[in-house]
This record gives sequence, structure tokens and C-alpha cells, in this order.
Amino acid sequence: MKIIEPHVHMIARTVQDYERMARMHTVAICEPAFWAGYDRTSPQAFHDYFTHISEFEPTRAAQYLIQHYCWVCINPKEAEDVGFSREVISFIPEFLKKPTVLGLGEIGLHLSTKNEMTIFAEQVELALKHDQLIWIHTPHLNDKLRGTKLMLDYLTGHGGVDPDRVMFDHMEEHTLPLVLEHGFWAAMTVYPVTKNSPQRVIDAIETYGPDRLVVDASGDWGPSDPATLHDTIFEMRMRGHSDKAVERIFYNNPCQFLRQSGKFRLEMM
Amino acid sequence: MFYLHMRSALIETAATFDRIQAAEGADAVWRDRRLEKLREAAGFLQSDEPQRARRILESLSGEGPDA
Repeated sequence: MKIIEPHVHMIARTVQDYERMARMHTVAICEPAFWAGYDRTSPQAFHDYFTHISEFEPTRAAQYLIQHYCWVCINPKEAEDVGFSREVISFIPEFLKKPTVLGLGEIGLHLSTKNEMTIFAEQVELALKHDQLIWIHTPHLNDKLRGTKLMLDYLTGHGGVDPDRVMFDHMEEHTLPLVLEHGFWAAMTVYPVTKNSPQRVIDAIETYGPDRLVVDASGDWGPSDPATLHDTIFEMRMRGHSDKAVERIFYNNPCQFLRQSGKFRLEMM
Repeated sequence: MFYLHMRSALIETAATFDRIQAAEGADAVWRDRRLEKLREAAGFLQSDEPQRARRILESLSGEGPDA
């Protein structure tokens, strides 16, 4: 069985994680652009960051037979300064031309402020202008429901957004049905303490079915582990789901969504 | 820090109750004495009295090896 990890921040991980993922049959990973754990001091720092994830990480991953893809954007946690954000947005189009850049992401909201919403909307427009996929970060913890609803309202009222080309990430029990019922894709993150456990992810798959649903471990610089994706595969198999059903969630579904970019090179199984 | 871990434990426990209720044969399992005792024990969390852990452990004690 082959596995696609749709969300991992490899800039914050060591080669041991590449090696572990490769040994657990991960064949492709995607790295959305996000906060580094500190606020960057200049727009140029984002240029360096985008260069790193679009040029250097693919070479590191290739040593472990893993295809590395990325998304670029100004992330919501650093989007409060509108002027600063627009400087970053100004050079995003040059990165959208690169062969492993899949679209705009992870755009979204953090505290759901007016400024964050302005930059979210401007990046949605940029994605539409360049015919790009969109990967959305939804807020953490108790801010998640409000922020998700704000973005859903914006996108469903927009009129020009195809929900089949948009992924809402970090879904949980209270936001997942909202996103799915509007025709968007949904990703569930397996994360210690602050997001989903493997058990809750499989509960959701059993409750809502496999359509437009993917799973990621969102490994980054904080408490997280790429292997939680594989823990979730084990949980699904332990509950008696067929290999084909498991493969759909952990390979075919992300493959189907990501292939819409025109750049994702793996084939459906 | 305590908040995040307590929040997580509460959600995980609620999800486990949901999982049991959604499972095949849930009606019989829902009446299982052990599950009833867990649901009763959850009531101690709403109390202002201290020693909640001790009272939960006491409430789950003394019903034999299968309890």
C-alpha cells in the first residue's frame, strides 16, 4: 500500500522523518507554507522560505524516494499586517510557475480579524486568477468554529469558487459536516492533544463516508509526529476496513484532489 | 497547559461514548454495568467537592474482577 501525506512541514523535521515515512510506504508529501514559530522580520524572509520549500526540500525528499510538493502563501498567523502581507503576495506568482508548487496554501484565518479576512480574500482572488488549488488552514481550538463559518460564508457567497478545488484542513466533529455539505474537500489532522486522535478520525470516516475526505499528520516544529498518519491507518485496519477502503482515504483521495493542480505526478490506484 | 490536556481528555471520552453508541449491538453494550458506572462517575466532574479522582475510583471499586 502506498501513502500520500498531504500536510507536513518538513522544513522543521530531520531526515530521520523522511526515512521513517519512506519505510512506512509514504511516496509523496505536501508542504503548505505556514508560520515558523516566530514572526518573520521581512517579506524577503518569505521569499527565502518559498525557495526552500520549492527547491531544496524536493531534493532532500528524493533521497528517500519521496516526491515533495508545496503550497505558497502568506499564512494567517502573519497576515494581520496588510501592507506586509501584500508585499509577500506580490512575489507569489513567480513561485506558482514552479513544477512542484500545487497552489495557494495554507491560507485562512487565525484570530479571524478583519485584516486576516482581507488577506484571505485577496489570496483567494490570486488563486482564481492563476487557476490554482486552495488549501485552507482553519483556526485552532475554540476559534475554529467561528473562523470556519466565516470562510465558508465567504467562499459560498463568492460565486466564482469551485468547492471541488478547495481543501479545508484541521476539521473536527463540529466543522467537518459544514464543509462537506457545501461540497468542499475536508482534511482531518491527527495531532497529539490539540486536534484529532486516530480513533476520532476513523469515527468520522465511518460517520460521513469516504468522499472528499483526507487525513494528514501536519508534522511541524511543535509536538507532532508524521507517524500518527500511519497510526490512523492501523486503527482503520484494526476496525476491519478493507485494504481498498484504507487505500482510498490515504492515497486515492489526496491523489484525486492534488492531481487537479496539473503538477501532481502520481497516478490513482 | 492543564486546559488543553483536560479539553482533549474530555473530547476523547465523549468520542468514545459516541463510538460505542454508533456501533453494532450498541443497545446491549449501553446497558453494560461498567459503562453505566463510567457515566455515573462522570457526574463527579461537575461537583465542587475536592478529591474527584478518589471518589471516581471508589465509585468504580468493589464489584468483583469483571467490574
